[in-house]
Amino acid sequence: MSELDYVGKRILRKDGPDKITGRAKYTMDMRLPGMLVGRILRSPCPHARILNIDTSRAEKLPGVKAVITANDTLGIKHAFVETPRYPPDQYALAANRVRYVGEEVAAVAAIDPYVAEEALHLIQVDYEEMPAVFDPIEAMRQDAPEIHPTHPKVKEPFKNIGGKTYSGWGDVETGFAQSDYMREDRFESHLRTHGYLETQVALASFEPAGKLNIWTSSQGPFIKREKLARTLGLPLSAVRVQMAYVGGAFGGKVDLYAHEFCAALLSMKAGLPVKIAATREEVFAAYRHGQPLIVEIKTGVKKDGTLLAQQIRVINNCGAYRGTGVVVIFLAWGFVMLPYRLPNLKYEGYAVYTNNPPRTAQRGHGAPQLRFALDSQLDMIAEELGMDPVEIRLKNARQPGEQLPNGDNVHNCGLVECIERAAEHTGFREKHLQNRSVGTTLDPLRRGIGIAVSSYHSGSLIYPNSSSAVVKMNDDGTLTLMTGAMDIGQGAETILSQIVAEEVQVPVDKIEVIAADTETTPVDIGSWISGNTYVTGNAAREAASVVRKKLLDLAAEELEASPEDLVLDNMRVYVAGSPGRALKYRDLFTASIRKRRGDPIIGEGHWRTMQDVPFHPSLATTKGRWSENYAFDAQVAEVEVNTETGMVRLVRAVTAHDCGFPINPLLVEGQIDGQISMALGHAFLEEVIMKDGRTLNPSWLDYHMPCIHNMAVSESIDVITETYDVGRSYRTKEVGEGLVSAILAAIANAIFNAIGVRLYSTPFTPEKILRGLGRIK
Amino acid sequence: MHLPRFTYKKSDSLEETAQLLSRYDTGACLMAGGTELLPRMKYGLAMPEVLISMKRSPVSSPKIGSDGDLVLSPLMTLRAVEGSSLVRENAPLLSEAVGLVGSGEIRHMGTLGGNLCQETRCLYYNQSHSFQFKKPCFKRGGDICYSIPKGKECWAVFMGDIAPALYSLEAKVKIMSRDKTRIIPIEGLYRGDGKKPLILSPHEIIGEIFIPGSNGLRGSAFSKFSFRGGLEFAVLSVAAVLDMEDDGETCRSARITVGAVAAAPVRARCAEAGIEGKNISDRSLSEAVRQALDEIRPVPHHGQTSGFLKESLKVQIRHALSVAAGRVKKD
Repeated sequence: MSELDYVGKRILRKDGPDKITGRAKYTMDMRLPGMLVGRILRSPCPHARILNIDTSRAEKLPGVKAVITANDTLGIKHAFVETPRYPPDQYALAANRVRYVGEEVAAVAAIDPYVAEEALHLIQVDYEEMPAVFDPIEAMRQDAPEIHPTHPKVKEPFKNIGGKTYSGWGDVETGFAQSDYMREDRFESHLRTHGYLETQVALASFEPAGKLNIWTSSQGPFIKREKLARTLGLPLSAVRVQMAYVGGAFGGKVDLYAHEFCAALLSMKAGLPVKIAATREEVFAAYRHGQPLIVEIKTGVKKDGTLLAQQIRVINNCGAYRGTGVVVIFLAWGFVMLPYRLPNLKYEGYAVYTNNPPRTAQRGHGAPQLRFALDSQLDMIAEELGMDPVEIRLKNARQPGEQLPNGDNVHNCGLVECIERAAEHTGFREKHLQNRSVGTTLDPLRRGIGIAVSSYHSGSLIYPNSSSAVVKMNDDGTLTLMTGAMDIGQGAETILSQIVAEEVQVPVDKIEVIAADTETTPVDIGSWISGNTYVTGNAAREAASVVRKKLLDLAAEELEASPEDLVLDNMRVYVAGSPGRALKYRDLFTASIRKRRGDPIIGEGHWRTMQDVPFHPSLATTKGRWSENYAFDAQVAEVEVNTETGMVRLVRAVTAHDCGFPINPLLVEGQIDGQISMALGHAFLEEVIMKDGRTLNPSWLDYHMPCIHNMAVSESIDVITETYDVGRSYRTKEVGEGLVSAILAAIANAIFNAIGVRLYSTPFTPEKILRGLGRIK
Repeated sequence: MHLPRFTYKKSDSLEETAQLLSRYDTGACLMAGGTELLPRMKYGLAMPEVLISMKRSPVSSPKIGSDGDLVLSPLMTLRAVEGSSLVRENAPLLSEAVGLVGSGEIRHMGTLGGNLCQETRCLYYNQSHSFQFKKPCFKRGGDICYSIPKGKECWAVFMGDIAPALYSLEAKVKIMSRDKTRIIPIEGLYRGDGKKPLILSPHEIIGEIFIPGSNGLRGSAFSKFSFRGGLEFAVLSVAAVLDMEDDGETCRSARITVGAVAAAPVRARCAEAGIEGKNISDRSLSEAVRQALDEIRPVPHHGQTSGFLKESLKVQIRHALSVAAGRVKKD
């Protein structure tokens, strides 16, 4: 790697000062003149026919400006996944039937929240209740109530199958026949919410001329624009989606939500701006959380621990509509394909409709659930074979350059180094042996250590995972970067600015970023599926390269030197060896206007995760190329188990990760710490408790997100496998969501190491520990 | 979420508060710190026409009364109680319990009286009911219990931390109304009814809290079991006081109170009786724990099973007793 000035440096976040001083304005803070307050009427029934909705009393209430139901819509369905196999299955407002408690039935816009609330009470909805089902296994039975018909391509006699994916390679039967040891296990995960601090909120303003402006707390404006335009029947160009600061998302704000649609339609009807903000309770009880999976695994290995075959079935309780339910059963296959070498696989995944709220992506999107199952079972296998957990992982870990069954390649995979360094750093082998030999002691506190690994893709080939960026020079030599990418708190604008800064040699604080506005910035997929640094970053780099080249060409002319002899440095160009022969960027800007017939030095760049290939990833068969960039990591957890109370404390988490190279080590560390804290909540504390489709703990009081004093020591080790060179495309890997996964299995394995109790479901509650210890019968 | 509409009244003294309560009758709610009431109002669980704020009322400092009691104003913030050296010296159990309530922010707002007068809690009840659990449960005036569907009454649980400590300290409270004043043991404040946990009539208010001094050797401990150790109500709590004979080994009298297992704090009276007159030892403490488990049946609440609560009760009582025994010293 050549000497770098901005990339690879610990540069403070551009949004930091605004946020820590409270000056940052979020969508929640926005107001427009004449703005109305919108509220949504939700279904109290998990499954019912809507016989009639009478809004007349609400409409007559003074202060009410608009009331909408499905009758006011075009009746166009939408969904996160919209393919010929999986056509959209959800109306923005329920028509004729509701399928979960909290489903949106009507909405009002009024002059204040009191009137809006009162208007909701005046809407009379007649429901005819229908039988409901909440458990996916029950929902699959032939005698279960039908929520949606089973997908026509599903051959098995199961009910309510929203999606099925089937994949494999090799021949599992042969693999099992050759195995020295086999075992079958079943793991379950639970429902968690994202915990974004800014609740879901949208402000819509429809102009009489036919333009819809909408600000919404999201992960990217372009997907919102497409879905809003289509469901509202507006031309794409008539919808402008913009951003303000985003108060967290973690996967929960990607898809179109009813409040966005309703704010827009109410504004169109009332002729005034309408803002709808979900309450925290609504977010808990009616919005989309992550996905609880049942993972059944049969694994065969050789005596030496080599994986030979796995048969895996994943059942996803995907809620009342498809949501991202079919994406998870697709991605789950990818989390099996990596990080271990596996010659034979038979994989089936089912997304099962139930009368729960639909689900969506959540940081890691299935990886934590899968890694918990797979890496827990691998430890059980190691235990049976008398192998060390580190050895069995090293034996099966993918090596650099390995070709994957779908045609992808792991390139400079640093997994082996991650495992070795994490183990060495923590003294894993000694501690692991030592903890086991403690035996019975009077001390109720027992220590355990565990390890697990994971891998996560960084940008993938799903439409339109491409980005473009524009970098333009300003008269004073500073830059403006225009990008469709969205900073949702992960530091996107800082990272992109560092890359532009490196290419053009303009300091980060002299780069203004205009982002995520469908009208003024170029298209970008948004901040999800972990492609931002790689895909948008390379687009910004390309755009910056154009500016760089224009500057060099012009400076060569002006300074009568060859472009190769020129050096860019801090907004000026000089001739190598003669710093006195220099021009400031602002002078070059003027020269360009003069000499280049008004060229203001603008660069455009674009990038797509990889060259398009004939075989896109298929949700149905899970075949096809997926990504060129897989990040790898090994995580070690050290826990302390109180055998009397059943409480487990994560004492230390060590993450050795191959993220290619860190563009900003400070932000990488921030991401790692954030993911450890999120995984800690996942492992021990957080659970959305539901009963019959209703949420029992819809508040921060009763949903136990960890507090600062619950945090564990988090240490990280960078395994550097890629480089950044000015003027060349780079390959780096994600660091924003893959690291919530391995640590979960590492904790489960550490608990086993401490007390010999194997946990098959998350969260790892004191009750499960005490039951495992036989203290509760 | 926003507050429902109400009329706001300020009161400058306990006497004025009693007058206002009498005037507005059942339509009024008292607010001291508001940390309990305001969330309830936002959920639509309390909808007072008149909110009587006592923020302006003077708060007297802790003092030792003529009979040796520690006298506390119910309007003291929890933070003030926590920080009071007089309380720490005379009722360390209370200092310990207060320091575990909610969070620093809540303790700065919440008051002693407000904590004692908090409502019972239940996951099904403590939320708004705009689209979930719309049909009223017993506590909301209906005739079902969501938590225990076969239940014929409300099974909400009293989860305050201060009351169990005051039970074990044998505190008394002065209850005032416009026309009369009475002093009752703290245990008399609670009815043991999930639906209506307090004996206070709409006209009544807590005027003062009295904690008798201990004359002799005492050890005490408060154990609050919760999952994240802050910003949380107790899964269960135990307040233990061991009053010792002068030999420092024989228990003269014991008080063990368990919180968050029923609609009111519960004294483990058999366990107390069993330990009295005995030497404090591993064996006598274990016996006390066994007796307590026989007499206390925790109501399953907040997603916890009775099996888990029972096991936790065992561990927490044992813990509280051991710590209390270890703290025995001349007061």
